[in-house]
Amino acid sequence: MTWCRSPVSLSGMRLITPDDVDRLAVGVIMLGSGGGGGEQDVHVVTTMLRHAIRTNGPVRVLDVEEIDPDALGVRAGLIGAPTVMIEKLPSGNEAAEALRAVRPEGEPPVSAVIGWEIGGCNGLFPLLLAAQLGLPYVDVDGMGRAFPRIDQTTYDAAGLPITPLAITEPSGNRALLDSSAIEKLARTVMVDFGGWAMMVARPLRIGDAAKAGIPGTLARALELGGIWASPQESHGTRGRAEASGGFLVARGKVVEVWRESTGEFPRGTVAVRRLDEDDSYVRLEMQGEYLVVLADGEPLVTTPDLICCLDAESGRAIGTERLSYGTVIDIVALPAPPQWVRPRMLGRVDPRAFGYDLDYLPFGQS
Amino acid sequence: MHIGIDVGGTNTDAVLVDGRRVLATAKVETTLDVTSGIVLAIQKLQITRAFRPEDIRAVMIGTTHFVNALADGTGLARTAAVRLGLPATGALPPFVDWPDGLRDAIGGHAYLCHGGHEYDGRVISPLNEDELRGVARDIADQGVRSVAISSVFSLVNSDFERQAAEILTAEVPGLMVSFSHEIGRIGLLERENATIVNAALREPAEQIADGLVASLTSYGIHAPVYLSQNDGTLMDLEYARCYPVATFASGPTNSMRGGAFLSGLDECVVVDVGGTTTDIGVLHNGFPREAPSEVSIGGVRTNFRMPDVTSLPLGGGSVVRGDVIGPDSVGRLLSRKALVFGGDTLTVTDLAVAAGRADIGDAGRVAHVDRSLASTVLKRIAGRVAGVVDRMRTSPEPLPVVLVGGGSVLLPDELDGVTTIVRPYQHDVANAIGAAIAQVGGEVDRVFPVDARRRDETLDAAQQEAVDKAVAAGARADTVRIVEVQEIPLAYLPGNASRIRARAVGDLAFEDVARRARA
Repeated sequence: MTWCRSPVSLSGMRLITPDDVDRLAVGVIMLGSGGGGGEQDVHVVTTMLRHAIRTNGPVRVLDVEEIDPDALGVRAGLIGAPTVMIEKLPSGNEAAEALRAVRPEGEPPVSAVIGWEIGGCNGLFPLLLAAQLGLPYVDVDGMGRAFPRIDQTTYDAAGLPITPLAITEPSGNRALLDSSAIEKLARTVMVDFGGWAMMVARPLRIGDAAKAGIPGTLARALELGGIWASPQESHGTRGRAEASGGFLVARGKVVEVWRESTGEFPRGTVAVRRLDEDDSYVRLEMQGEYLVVLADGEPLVTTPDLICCLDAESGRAIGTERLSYGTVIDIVALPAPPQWVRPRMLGRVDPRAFGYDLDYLPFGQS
Repeated sequence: MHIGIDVGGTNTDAVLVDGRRVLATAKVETTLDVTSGIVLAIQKLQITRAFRPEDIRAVMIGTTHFVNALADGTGLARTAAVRLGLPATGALPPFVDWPDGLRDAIGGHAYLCHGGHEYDGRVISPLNEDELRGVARDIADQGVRSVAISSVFSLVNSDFERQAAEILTAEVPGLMVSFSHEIGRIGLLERENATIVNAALREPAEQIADGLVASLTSYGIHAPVYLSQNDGTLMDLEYARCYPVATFASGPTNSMRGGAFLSGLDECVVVDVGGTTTDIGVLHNGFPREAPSEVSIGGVRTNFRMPDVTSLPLGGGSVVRGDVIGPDSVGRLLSRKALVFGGDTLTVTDLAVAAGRADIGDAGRVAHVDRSLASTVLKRIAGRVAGVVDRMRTSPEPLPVVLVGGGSVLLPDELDGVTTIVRPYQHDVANAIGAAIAQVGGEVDRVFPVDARRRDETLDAAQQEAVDKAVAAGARADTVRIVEVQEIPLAYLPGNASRIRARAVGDLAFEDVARRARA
């Protein structure tokens, strides 16, 4: 099975126009696995993206083979809390300003924007930058979903440089960071910058990004958007999950949500009483994203495979911050990009990487 | 004694209540001007059970009349949005996601100014008085009469919104001000949108409020008037003049709460069949659950939450063509247009009479209606309702279903998958009862910096703030309780900030009707 089931391959779909934005938003939210920002957060970015496309024209999307491998591609992404971003809205210049700071002297200019994290808001920020700069977007990213740490990418796993890293915020504060512990430094600066900031990492050779990254994730987001944006009544969740290459794990009611904010990131546990089976429960473990689904202590789905919770009534995805008592949800599992499911790679993103005493469970083997 | 009134699309219902005892009920047709229907309903109460107008200590009204002006687009004030947050927020100016028609109808004047706070209370940039005086001059030149002021994280610190209002009103006397920190929750665009909608509704709201007071006064009732808010709690009329937008979704909540009260069931599904729609909602602890997503008003995104109620376009007034039901309804003209009332339109009510399920109007006028068609259509309606009830159930255990509303005669005594059906006495005025029993609430919803060692103190402070707000809004202090508290640590912020939401409700303090200065 290929990861993107119908490799739309973007042939015939090589431009992102305002009409594609809503579908794309649904797709990147699904790829967020409950994290990376929910519907309200993504609305902020889609509104900016639509405006930028109307002003500067559609974004050209290229497959990795379609561009000179020696050309430079730049990645951008939000660090921090989307919940803060929807209040302290962007100025819109954050990424462009950060890019000016990371362009090394004497190097050729960047020719394209590439993805960093396709899941959630960060699936859209690179397209916004591409629209603002009039550059093409090359369809590759480093996660194929959402993850909390900026170095949880296949780029980092391949040893591609992330620094210097420029970080900017809407009030005009900016910093250029270089450290071997970039995650901690960037997060400290982000908190001081007011809870969210935009990052731009040192540009990469497109050839390197293509080799180390996960190609085709924008196409995957559009594919998922097409499946999950259609009205709920027309296809059941099960049918949609299967059309997406995944499966419906359970339908149930949220009967307990327990959250704590100690440690590196907030984490939580959710008890779901199944409605599709008598006297049966599943447990969800979450941090920024949904990470593990268990039944009777046995894993059913584990990170890096994707776990999405959808409102059973409306079919809309519910992020980890929004899940609340009493909601009836459908839990859907989607396969991780194959690049992560390799022994050498799993250690960065498997349940143990998030502090759970569990091994990765190959997709669909519960 | 007090009076509860619900103004629906079809009927205006009223109840006379003493404490929790319902003394009299009345149902009249909703009138175009709303207020004369209210007076008629009160007159009808008076006929059922005589009372002295001066004994009425409060009137609670549930109506969406205040926001109907938005759909008409008439009478809306020329409105400006002033946002404080530069250099942040520039990418998404006010009105950015509005439908063109509504934006143009109110002028769409948008001003981005300096100001705003960070989530932890630090200042983004100080207010610039000259900048704001420039805005004031422009506002005056444009003939703007109402202004919506929003500042980044004004729920953490509202000083800038108030200071900006002082500067603007000093330059533009008579300018009406709506504050975003009074209206919404976290999420600047949605909160600002709701504030702008509110600002545009200020003039019609004044007229409606004056009309309500005048009609009650003419009847000898001088008691304070309260309006139902979206969450089922009350606000007084003076506050409603300033914040009319908070009434826009009050209807479904009132009938859900009224149904729970009448049946004595705190955990149930309430099905309210009106003239135009059937609303179905699940109650937990006597309150409807809140829907997980935000709602839009007139195509404008807001961060109001609706009660989690599913609305089907089915009611007693739904027009029947062949075997197709609705979705249109004769609405408030039911008692003239339906066949059983001598009209010329076949409605669902006529089918209920033809099938022998209801005894309304003149059954002779529907003698020609095919009985098997009638029962087929009614069965289909019952099936659709049963389907929604089944989907809304939150557990496999059977949940009792409470049928309320004038149109509930359309539904049979058995529904698929439902073991208990309750039709409480006086169910046909459940929404007015819901208004009459409504309480007063206070809510806090914002980001708090949380120090792990003092987490309990922070939570206590948030809850106390909600309690204080409820008391300030007119609740009796000894009855106020916290009904909801939620702490959500912000994703992707390392353990130092949480979104805390606390809601408190209490009984209305009848004795203390002194007006308070909230705005």
